[in-house]
Amino acid sequence: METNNNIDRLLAMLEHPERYSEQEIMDTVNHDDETREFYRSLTQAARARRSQRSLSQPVDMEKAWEQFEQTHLATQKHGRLWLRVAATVLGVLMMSGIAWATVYTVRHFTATDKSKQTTENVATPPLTESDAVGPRIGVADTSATENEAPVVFDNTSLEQMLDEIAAYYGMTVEFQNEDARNLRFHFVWNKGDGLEKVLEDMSHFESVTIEQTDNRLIVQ
Amino acid sequence: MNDKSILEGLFRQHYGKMIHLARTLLHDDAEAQDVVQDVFARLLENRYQMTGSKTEAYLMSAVRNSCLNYIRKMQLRERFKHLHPLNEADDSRPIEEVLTELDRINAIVDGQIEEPQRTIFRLRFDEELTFQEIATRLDMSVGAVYKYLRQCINRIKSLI
Repeated sequence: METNNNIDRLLAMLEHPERYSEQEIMDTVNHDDETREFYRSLTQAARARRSQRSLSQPVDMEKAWEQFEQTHLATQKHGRLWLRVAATVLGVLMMSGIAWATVYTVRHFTATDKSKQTTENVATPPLTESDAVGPRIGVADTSATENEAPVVFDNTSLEQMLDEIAAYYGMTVEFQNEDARNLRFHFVWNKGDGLEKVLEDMSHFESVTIEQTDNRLIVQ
Repeated sequence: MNDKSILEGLFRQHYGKMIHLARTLLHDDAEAQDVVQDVFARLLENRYQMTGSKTEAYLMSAVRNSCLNYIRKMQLRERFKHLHPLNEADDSRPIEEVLTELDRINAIVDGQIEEPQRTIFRLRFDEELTFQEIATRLDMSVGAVYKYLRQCINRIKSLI
């Protein structure tokens, strides 16, 4: 009975969230397991109906592509960009299982194509001279200074990578998913980036989720 | 095939599924479009790390992650109002599995929920009426609307 009252309170809050503090909302949602579960079901219900609506709504592909072209392609210098996309796609086709990014490939293009670099740097992430010559493999240099070249982890285990990164930001690492320790990825770490940005970039890794709580990084 | 047509090919092949996922996870269609466009923009800038053999799985994960990041950055009251997840870690299942469950929910609502629970569910989630508006339209108290919605949600949960 008390749970039902709490759920009714939650529904009433949905009508006028602005009348309640964030704390009140969270306390109500997390009042007990049943309410928390109920809220989760509401979330699913809302998604289910948005999904249904979406399917009945036509997708205007021409307009979407046109918009993309105008926003992202009109001002770019085409040659190199297309080369990068081609390299990326080629990389995807060639990859099997093990995570292996295309940055390395693309940077090789960069290195061999150095003479054009000055004019074609438009959308390239900041690369330094040493980076263009060839990525450093594996372990990060701990004698780093703030503005040095990005650290390139090349086919490096998640465990090794996270140990380095966590240590730099004063965090500890906890693997809830033991198997994830040995997953290998390619990742470019800019030490100047905040931890949040780094985690956001890492969130694109498939099959692992990294959560931050206080001073711990939890791998799920 | 030139380079431009490769990207355009990817876009045309996957845009439909990607926009569908984004519209499902977000409540704002314009935002959903931005998310998908941004995924391709990042692909172009090569800021995404390609980490698997399946292009579609990769693109779909990228869309989901962008949507969840967007939701995370919303004000808590906004997230609550639009019924987005509030507790972080509840979305780690494979995308296909999540979408299949949503289809299942829709089938249950349309086929196995009785009246007036079903009408109340539809007015709330399809027509997005407030509980007060639903109560007025069906000539019942707001308390009764809450009660039926509770029953409806619990029934869906038990049937999934």
